[in-house]
Amino acid sequence: MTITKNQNGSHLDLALAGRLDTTTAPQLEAELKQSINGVTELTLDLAGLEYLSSAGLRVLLSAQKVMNKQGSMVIKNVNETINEIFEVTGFADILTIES
Amino acid sequence: MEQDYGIERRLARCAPELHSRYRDCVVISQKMLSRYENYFPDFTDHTVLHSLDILELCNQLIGSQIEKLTAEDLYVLLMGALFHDVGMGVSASDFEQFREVLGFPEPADDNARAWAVRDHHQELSGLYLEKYWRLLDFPNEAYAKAVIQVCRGHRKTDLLDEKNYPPRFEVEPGKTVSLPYLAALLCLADELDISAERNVSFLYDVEKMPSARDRREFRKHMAIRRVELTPDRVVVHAWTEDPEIRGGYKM
Repeated sequence: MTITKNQNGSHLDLALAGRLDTTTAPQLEAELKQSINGVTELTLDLAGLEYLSSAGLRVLLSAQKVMNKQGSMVIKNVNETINEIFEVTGFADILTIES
Repeated sequence: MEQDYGIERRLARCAPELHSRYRDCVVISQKMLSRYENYFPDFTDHTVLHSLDILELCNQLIGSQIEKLTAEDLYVLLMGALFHDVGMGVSASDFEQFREVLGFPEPADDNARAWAVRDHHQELSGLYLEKYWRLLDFPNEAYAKAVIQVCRGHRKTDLLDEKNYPPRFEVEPGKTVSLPYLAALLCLADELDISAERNVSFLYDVEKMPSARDRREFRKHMAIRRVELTPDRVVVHAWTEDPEIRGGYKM
């Protein structure tokens, strides 16, 4: 998985590409641990994401939990595969997904 | 990897109407569960992340057996995964009402009350669902009763009691669910949700936890590096240099 980071003050954009699974979730977790402090607007661009496992979904939901306290988080450019995962798990309504 | 979301996907495919009812309850469950933080502000997450873990573990535990489960089994299991800890966040007035039903003494202070909630939360979950099941859009009362029993059974309950846990509990004419199997699955998944790798590092700061007991319990939890499910055993990988924590893991 590749993470492309773009930070502008308290705005943080992360573009994810590849597979976000057990192997790669720690990479996103480490990136968020390093960057999330002080962020008030977090955007996750999932245009290039091919697969999202439970381990990856856990990191996204954790980020949402943090951002609920310190600002907002938006997920954008969700493709059909990832959208099906959000829908089937029912977590679509917990995350803020920009259509 | 292929087992990811297997329960949810199979229910969506086999019974879209039941899946839709489940899906609508996810957000409701999280709102109900988030109140647990009133009692346990420093506990590891018992809301959305715990539900996700429970379902992931159930998927692993079920494996290829999923073909033998009916849509009704899957729905009851999913609802149980969502609501088994709802008793951790009951309101003060519900707590008083349920405490009288369960017959335990009035706690002396907030701390004692929190521990009473923790100790009895499976029964509190059952009573909460008995009181509020109509809010959750169950297809009928029998489904609600099945979920209540599965939630109660996730801790300290005799699942071999066939009167309360019949292997074939009818939820609709000709459609049954296996209460002991579903409760045992949920119980096992809950017991196995102890691995540190499930704690996302940016959510917790052990040094900010208020009491020595909380810090010790969290360190004990963090020492469990991985829980590995193999076809014939569960292997818990734990490592710590702290003799006190190490002592806590001696079998």
